[in-house]
Amino acid sequence: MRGRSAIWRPLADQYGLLALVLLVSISVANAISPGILSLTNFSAMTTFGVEIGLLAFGETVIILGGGGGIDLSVGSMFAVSQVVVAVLVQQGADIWLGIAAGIASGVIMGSINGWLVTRVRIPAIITTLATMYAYSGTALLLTNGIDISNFPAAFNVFGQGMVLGLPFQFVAVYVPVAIILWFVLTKTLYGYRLYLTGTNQTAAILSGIDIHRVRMGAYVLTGLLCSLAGIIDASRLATARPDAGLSANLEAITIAVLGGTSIFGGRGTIGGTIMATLVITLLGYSFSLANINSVIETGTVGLILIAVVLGQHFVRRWTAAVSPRRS
Amino acid sequence: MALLELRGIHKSFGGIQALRDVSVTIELGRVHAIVGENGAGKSTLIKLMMGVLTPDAGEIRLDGQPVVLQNPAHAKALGFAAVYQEPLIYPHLTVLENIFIARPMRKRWGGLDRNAMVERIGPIFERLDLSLDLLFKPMRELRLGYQQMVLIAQALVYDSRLILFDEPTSILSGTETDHLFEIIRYLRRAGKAVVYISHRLEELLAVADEATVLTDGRMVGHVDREGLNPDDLLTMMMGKAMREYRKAPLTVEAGHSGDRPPLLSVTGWSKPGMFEDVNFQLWPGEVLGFYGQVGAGRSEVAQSLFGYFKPDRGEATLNGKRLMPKNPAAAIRAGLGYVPEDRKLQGIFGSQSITNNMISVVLPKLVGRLARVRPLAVTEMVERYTKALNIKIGALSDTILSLSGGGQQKVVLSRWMAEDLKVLILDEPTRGIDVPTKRDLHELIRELAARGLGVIVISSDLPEVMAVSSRLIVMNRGRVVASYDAVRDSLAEDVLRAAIGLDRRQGEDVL
Repeated sequence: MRGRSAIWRPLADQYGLLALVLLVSISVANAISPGILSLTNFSAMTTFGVEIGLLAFGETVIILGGGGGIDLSVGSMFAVSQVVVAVLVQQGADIWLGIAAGIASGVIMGSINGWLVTRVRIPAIITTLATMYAYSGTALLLTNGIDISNFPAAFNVFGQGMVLGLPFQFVAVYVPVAIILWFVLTKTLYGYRLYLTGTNQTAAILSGIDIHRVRMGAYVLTGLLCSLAGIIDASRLATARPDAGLSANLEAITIAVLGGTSIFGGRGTIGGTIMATLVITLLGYSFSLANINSVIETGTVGLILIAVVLGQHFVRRWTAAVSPRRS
Repeated sequence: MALLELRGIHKSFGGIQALRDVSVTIELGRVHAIVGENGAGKSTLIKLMMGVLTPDAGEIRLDGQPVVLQNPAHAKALGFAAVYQEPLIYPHLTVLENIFIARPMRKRWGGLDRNAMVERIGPIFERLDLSLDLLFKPMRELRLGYQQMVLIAQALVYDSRLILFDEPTSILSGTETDHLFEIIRYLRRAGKAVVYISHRLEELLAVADEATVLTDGRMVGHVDREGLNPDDLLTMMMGKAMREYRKAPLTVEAGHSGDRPPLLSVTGWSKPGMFEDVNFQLWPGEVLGFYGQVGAGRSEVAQSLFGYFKPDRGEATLNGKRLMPKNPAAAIRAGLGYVPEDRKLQGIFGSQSITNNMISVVLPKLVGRLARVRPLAVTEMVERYTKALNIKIGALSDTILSLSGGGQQKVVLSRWMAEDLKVLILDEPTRGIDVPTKRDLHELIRELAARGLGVIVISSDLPEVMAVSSRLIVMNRGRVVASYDAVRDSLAEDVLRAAIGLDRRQGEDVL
């Protein structure tokens, strides 16, 4: 009995199963487009992974807080913040002022989501569905629906610069953000409270935790991360698009769940989300490199999601059944 | 004629023996009452009869033949129906749909035959004194009393032979109760077998033909109509109380003396529908017991003092300062602690580690630079309290679900050990916990009081409150009905009497 559980237990946490999926995706990627495993390609891939990866971080933190927390508006916030930067710069504002305003817009939008969910008590799925439309409409209004692309050269560094042979945004934004989030979630008071709130909200309240403040923090943080991603996107393409991020809303949720974040809250890690981001980015990159119809790519992502979630469920249950119980 | 016989039934959950060697015979045309305190095993017995649970040992016979009740649907098909305390209904469907939900009558082509259903239910509704207009109202618009009637009508439509009532009057008004009793008498005349479960003795006397008394999962007596009198039933229910009480020495001295001011003082604390005009005082160093049946309003009083919700009226002071916390966080800052009644739903963080479960309250005090929770402080704290509370664990990183109920309860309690507490409220601290751990917890409660805390123990377990409290308050239907300044074993019967609502006389030492 112990043998069975000892062999399978590593697969029960999200890292084990994800590592397996990652290995499989790497070999699939290598099979359909040989030579993909080069440093150049890795560097290119991180470029694409950073933006969706940041959105998925935000999604992870919100879902972790439990109580049905979710954010369908991450892609819209991503679009608004890049448009805010572009419009201000177009009006002749300093580039740094524009960036500050873009980040501020993300924080404000995240706060609105958080306020509606935690204070007005509208379920998160409805709140953020509504704000998804509202923010998206705002982005279109601000630009009259047209892309803006007359950024000064200095702005290009955020999405096109290179540091140590790797993209600037990966080294200077994604990696530090990942480290900070890992620290916040696993080491700080806020992190402990977030996991406890997500695991059992009544027990959290009775332990003196202000669960609304905890969840509010998650929404604000997500707004901030979306604005960083939006600014990087505008810089990478040298264009701010009001309709950017349309598919990112659901993709961010997909990555978070694939990374082992329980949709009921209280369970999930930054490491899992990073690995899931890698899987999704790798597949997208290799499929487009091999010129495979993107419809097939979308379908594949769906299948992987179902397989991983089911796999986690069964392995977890199986190992739980054979693990010893103490009194 | 015997319809249903249970013989030598045993049932246990984990290490807890819920029923041992219980034998009951249910006869057609009679009302059989099952009496006992909370936790005596009444609900377990119903669940066995309704096929929700299966016995570990023993035999169930129906019409003289052995039968295994596989699930509730099976029990229903055999003609058993249950009317629970809170009616199980589909609130958005109409009364008619609720009645026929399991076995709708159909037209030849498969559509619902509403007319046939109305025709079928008509005489039954007339018999139950219910208007046919009700049939097309959504169930949620009916008062609870009427919802119960609908369930009884359903039992009659399905030609049930055994109808089980589980504390049916706890949600009913006086006239509704009288109406219900008339119906029960009608059911008896109609030759049905009725099982009636309640802890309100005066009601049993009004309807029962015989009664079986359970205490602590054992059958302690069976009396026929002639033997049904409150004093004998009380004596039987007391059996265990007295036995266990004598075993546990009273180590807490009465905590208050005339000249010291109280630690916590509560006056006129009211929230209509939950509790009315609750007054009490708590002195440092004492254990104040809150005894009463489930639903008497004890937990609600505790939770409102702890800031989980607000009372409508009332004043409370803690050490002379006004206490009206806007949330539990504020209550904790003021020096209150609360261990909730429902360990699984309100106490533990299921998928989290034992460590995280222990530090949930004390977290802010363990924070160092960069808002970081100091790992050394965590380890030190957790090690100290696992040792102090004698919690047997494998690894601190195991989830709390790896512990037994008793272990989990100790972890929940340990949250409050490192706090600067003035008052600790424990709500049903030993429910569903094995005897040795129970003893540990009682010891711990006394220790906490000896340290100068004011401790409130809410419990439906009479021997427990009698053994652990230095003073005692009894609640019934949201009101304090008796209070005792000293706890002596001769009071046990009085206490039980007050809690059951048999009479409302005050204890001899009125606060």
